[in-house]
Amino acid sequence: MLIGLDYVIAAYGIWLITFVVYIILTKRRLKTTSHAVTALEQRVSGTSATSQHTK
Amino acid sequence: MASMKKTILYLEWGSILALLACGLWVFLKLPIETSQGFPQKIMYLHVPSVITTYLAFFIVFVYSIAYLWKRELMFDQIAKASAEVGLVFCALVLITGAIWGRTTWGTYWVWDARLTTTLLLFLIFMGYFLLRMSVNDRDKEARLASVLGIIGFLDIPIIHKSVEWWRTLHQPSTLFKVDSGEAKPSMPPELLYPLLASTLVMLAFYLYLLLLRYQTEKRTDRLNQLLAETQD
Amino acid sequence: MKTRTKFVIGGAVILAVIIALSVQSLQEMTVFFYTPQEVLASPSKFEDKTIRIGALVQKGSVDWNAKDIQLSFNITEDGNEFIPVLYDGVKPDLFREGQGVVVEGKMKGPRFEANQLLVKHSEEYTVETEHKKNKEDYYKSIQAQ
Repeated sequence: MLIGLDYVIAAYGIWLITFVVYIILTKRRLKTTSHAVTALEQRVSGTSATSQHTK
Repeated sequence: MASMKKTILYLEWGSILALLACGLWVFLKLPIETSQGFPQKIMYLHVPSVITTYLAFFIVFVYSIAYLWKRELMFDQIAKASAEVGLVFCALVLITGAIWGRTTWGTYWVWDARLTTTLLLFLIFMGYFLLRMSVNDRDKEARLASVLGIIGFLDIPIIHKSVEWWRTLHQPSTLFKVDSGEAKPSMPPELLYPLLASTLVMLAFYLYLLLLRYQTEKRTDRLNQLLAETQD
Repeated sequence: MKTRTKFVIGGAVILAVIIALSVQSLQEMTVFFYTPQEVLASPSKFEDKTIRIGALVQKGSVDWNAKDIQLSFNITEDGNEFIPVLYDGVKPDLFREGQGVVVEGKMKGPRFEANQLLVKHSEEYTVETEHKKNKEDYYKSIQAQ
């Protein structure tokens, strides 16, 4: 076996896995917050529209 | 807004493909370094991660000053996004450094000046996020975090100079070596060029992560603002 | 409020760790190792104290006893003044004559008994031309070891 191969694999492996996990988590967070924002924005504009109606 | 999405997409695919290309270059084309042998390949991960960490916290420094000056929420969102990405890179610097140290020095960790000040940087920015979480008022959070972000960055020049100021196990800088006033990296070109290329590519990858993370930060603040409005 | 106090406590713990680290390691950090000259200049100061010495492995002084797993060599800075070192342990892969090392242990009389041997590698990176030409041969040669 190549000397130090296990260490090189460990270093590159940890680096790669860290960013795969980080990107997945960040994208999921972006998706959920985006959905929540659009949902809330619709509700806010909906309520303000009805309140204008009543005036 | 749509163009931002496109920029992120291009940066995502561009930097990831370029990272893969650098990896292939390093493992298939590069000669084996004489004294260290195969484990020297870890350098192509460790050194670019170090430079990316420096840049990420420099961005925190710049946008923290900008926030304190202009009180623009966007500046704080960028600083926060960059601090988080920088913290991930900083952790990887410590981990890849420990692994590399095990193969060359014969130890994962020593308390020399270079390693200790790098750990200190990591702890300062862990504290940075604890501080943010502990403050409920968004403006106050931004103000305090900006101050800590500026102080935290000041550790980086100390880290960089530590190998010159003190006796350390860590060797002096290869990439930024200066000989009689001239920049002279102590590396043959066939090892140096891929190192420079990996560094540039990793900076592009950082930019991608920063923009992605900034998007989430913007949404989170908008969400909190909407929630506050609907509760009124 | 409850989570907030948790974070405040967390922050205080981190701050305490930072301060403890800096105080504890400041001495160690600024002088990570002594030089052979410093140790030889005032032997009484270092006698029986656990210290680290950093220097180069003197050429022609290395004696590796594989049977007893014992390594002895001299460390020096200038080639004139040296300290003989005895290390009970496996010879590290990168240990070579002329290489920078940091040894941790105690001075026992004129000899340094090390319990840790760290290899300090230089910032110079080189590629031998033969390796460039015959990379496969090089890979084979390490695999054969």
